[in-house]
Amino acid sequence: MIINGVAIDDTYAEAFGMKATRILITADTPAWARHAANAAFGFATSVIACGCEAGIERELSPEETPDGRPGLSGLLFAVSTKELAKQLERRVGQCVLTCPSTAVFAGCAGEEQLPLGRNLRYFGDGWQMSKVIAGRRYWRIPVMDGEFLAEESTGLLRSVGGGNFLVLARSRAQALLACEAAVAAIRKVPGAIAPFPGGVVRSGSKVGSKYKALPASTNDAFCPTLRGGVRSELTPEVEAVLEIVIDAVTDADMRVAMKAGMAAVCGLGAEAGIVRLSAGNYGGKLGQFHYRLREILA
Amino acid sequence: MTATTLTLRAGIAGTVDLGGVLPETLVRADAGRLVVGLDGRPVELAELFTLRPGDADSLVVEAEGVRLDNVGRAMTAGRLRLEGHAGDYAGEAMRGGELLIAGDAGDFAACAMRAGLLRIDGRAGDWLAAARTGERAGMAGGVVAVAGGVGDRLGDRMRRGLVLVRGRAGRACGARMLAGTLAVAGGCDDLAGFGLRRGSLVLGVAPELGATFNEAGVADLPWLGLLRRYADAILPGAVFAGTRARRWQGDLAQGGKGEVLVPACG
Repeated sequence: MIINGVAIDDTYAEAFGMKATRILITADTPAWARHAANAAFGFATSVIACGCEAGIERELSPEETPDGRPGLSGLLFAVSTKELAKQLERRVGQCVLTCPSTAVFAGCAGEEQLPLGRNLRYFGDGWQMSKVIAGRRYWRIPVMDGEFLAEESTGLLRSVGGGNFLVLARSRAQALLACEAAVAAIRKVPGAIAPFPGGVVRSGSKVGSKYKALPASTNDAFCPTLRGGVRSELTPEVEAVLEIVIDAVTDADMRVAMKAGMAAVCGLGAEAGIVRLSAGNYGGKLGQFHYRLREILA
Repeated sequence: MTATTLTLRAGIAGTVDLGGVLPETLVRADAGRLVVGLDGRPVELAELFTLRPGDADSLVVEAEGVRLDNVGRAMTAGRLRLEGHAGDYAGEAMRGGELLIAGDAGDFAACAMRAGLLRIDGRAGDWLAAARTGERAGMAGGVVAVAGGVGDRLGDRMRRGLVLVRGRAGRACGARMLAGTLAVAGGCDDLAGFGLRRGSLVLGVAPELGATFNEAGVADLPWLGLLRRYADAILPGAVFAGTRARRWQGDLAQGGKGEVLVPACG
């Protein structure tokens, strides 16, 4: 398959079932909501060492938020419910509770619940107050700028993490431009995030390492500098490869996001230095979800 | 889709005890034989009302000229609308559903209420959402919305839930309250929050407070935005606009964990 001069590899992205949740952060201004979100969802690029993968899903107008203030929604993904609960509480406690004027709310329902303000309320040292509004419990925790308002809990979602595609280009600059276009397209898809810095990752990994302590190591088959030393996947004209990793609430969201991202890259085409699109997988044995690039782009 | 309708027969006077007359009980074939009270003596429902069958989840009671006590008592589901005034104990021990009173309600409405919505288009009497005599706690959940004013002892020993009042409350509003929220747009008479343990009095007009309330100044409280958005969908105007409020903590004789909030500019 070739689209606009870009070859689409006959391969698939291998993704995993993950536990996720959505939270809404509001503040007096969009800027302060973003400060809180950037802190809370920072250092959340990969479950390998961050505990979770997280990112801003979209901005919310005052009409869309529970308290009528500007805000944004964010998604967090982890490999287990226990780890997700730990990361959620830690990140909201350290990054949202601490941020001036913010409040935090559940962004999704779910059969199972994760604590949001349930334990953070003890920061109030006995002065915290509970309010039940429309059947949902909120905690008012006194802080130095007034009160931090946190909903008691948020829903647990069964989701998909680790969808991906690789952009192979004639130069790093061209690969970056294409990935920026892809990330811009993916950010318009509700229910999906690209958790790496700017939505793009350069250090694609393979499972295992020559060093026993490491669970993952560099994806040598796609490293241009190793073409002379390993069984490379790269043709001579490819000078740089960048990867876009996507986490999504549902399988359908993942497909929409991958299609949007890859279509944006193909839209730039060979003229913009894009050579191929490929994807990362582990032989199909590790992940429950397989996303065939050609099927998604068909 | 039509509601089941009960219409009072001509010539009936006195106090009617409507306890047990609920949307779900009137769909039974023998609903007319349901025993209710007239001035304290048992009578069959059909002696007092004509019954027009309809949906199981909706009941309209049309009654003028009598006092109707216990309207919607222990209601669990459905919708009951009273075209007229209610006597005492309207919505007592409600567990769900919607009770709509097109006129006024007497004393002790919503006592022991646990869930559901009680809407009163007129005014309510004393002890709304309060504890019944001898009970430790009053209303413990649900929402009460009163378009007019209310009498004394609103929310006395109230445990949980939300009461919205667009008019003014009488004396001892929120007295001995354990928790929950009272929003009274028109303010209230003296002894507000007397013995308040926890809970919030959200008043549109600053009250006269006793010496056991300490002023905590003005703060911006985002939960007021949340509360107003919810309350406006039920009874617009019951919660004041804006999130900046002047706050008093009290009753300090009871731990000081309750609060009285009024608009910052008020």
